[in-house]
Amino acid sequence: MIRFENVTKSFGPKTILKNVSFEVSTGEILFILGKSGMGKSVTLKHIVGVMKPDSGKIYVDGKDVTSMSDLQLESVRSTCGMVFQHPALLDSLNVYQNVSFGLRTPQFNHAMKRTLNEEEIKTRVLEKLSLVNLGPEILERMPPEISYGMQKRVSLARTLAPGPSYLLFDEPTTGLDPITTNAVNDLIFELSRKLKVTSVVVSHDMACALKIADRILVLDQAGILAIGTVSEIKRSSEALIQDFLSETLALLPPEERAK
Amino acid sequence: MISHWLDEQIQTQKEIFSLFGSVGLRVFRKEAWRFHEIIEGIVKIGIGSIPMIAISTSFAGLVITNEIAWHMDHVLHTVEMIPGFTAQAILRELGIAIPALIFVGKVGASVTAEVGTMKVTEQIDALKLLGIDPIDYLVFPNFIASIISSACMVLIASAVTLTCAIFVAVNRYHFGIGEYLNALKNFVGMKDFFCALTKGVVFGAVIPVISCAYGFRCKGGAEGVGTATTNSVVTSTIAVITLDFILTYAFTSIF
Repeated sequence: MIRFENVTKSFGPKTILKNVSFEVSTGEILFILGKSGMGKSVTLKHIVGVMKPDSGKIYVDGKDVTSMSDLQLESVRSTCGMVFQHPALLDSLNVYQNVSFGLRTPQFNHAMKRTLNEEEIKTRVLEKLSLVNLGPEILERMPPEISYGMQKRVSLARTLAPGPSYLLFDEPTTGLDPITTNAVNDLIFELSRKLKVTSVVVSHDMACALKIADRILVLDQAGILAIGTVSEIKRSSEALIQDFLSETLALLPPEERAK
Repeated sequence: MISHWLDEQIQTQKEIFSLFGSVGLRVFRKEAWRFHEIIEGIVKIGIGSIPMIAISTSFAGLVITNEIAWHMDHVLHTVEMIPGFTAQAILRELGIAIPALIFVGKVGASVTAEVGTMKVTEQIDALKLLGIDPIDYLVFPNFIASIISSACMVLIASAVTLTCAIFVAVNRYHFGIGEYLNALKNFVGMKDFFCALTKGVVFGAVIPVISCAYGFRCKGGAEGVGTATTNSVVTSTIAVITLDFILTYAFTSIF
């Protein structure tokens, strides 16, 4: 479980988050929506201690990550995987090395209590790549040699490879074609339902949120504008949420809109 | 506006010193010694810089010998001291400062651009999440590779510059090679090599740390990487020149 307690974060004079509190239960899919610059990605980075709040507490599995050093955070980070806004692949490594990177780290070996052999690593890499519709033909390719969409999928495969309990997605489907977008959304849904993986997804995509989210959190003006289940959010009278909904619903076919 | 700029500068200097401390402590940590990355760094930083440094220092050798000889000839009406003066100038200054400044331009700029790009494209955050310390992975190998490369570069640059100095002395001022080398022995000792190597090691240590610190501070996109690279080159150049003065002052006081 992830819990935010009165988290405040400012950059210079601008307050991005002010007394933000919410919880994400195990196996739940929480979508964080909001306009650009409202602190969605910042919220995500706080969970894994890449950013520290100015005040407030953040708990992951009951452990307060705000007071942990980088070394102490290793145990929390070994349970979390994050898909960044950029593919964030290491340019000096090929696709295979990138996806297998997390399987060779002391953090992973410590969590697994053993070291995987090369055969096991390769099996796992191919398995994760196939989940994101990629085949073995790209294993030797360098990141700049593949398209942006493919890089994002490789990045997702790298995140899935160590088998995290928490998945944090920062706009996972930006730059992807509609078919891969659907595949990624289905994957998030399956991981949550079958493996009880907890997912926090930062997105602008209300249609995806309506389709797979258990709950939706809307950030605005440094705080939480609304949080609730899909049907609760649909019933919200907040203007921003209605704007999001009307923009999304207009793009859906009539039968989907009626749901 | 000025206070904001000052705050930024102070913060940057703090981060450079803090990074220096962190890197220094890693010398004693076995897991920080990633030999594969260090060797890759030596190839990239050191071997990749040899042609540029050889060309620059060879011309510097030709210029300095001509200048020293011309002044000696006009003022003292003798060129006997050419070997001693040129060798001292090369081993104590020219053969060290030129490679260091080329290092700043070539290695420092590329390290800042690389680390800065990794920062803005969230590769550094990804490393942290995968349990890899960015200082272990990015800074320490460059630090060690740069020290080794810089020390070797000083020796190579000094040898190239001296060869060019001999070429000018032999061809323009009619010295014999043996005569030049004999005269050289009277002026140059182990202490000069010690000074040259010490400066090489210090510059080699400072440049990658400053470059990485600016890379880690990088914000925004391509423009941010460009600004960080420019600032890194400026700071590294000032640091090299300042440290050169301090070390020269110390060595001339000691020896």
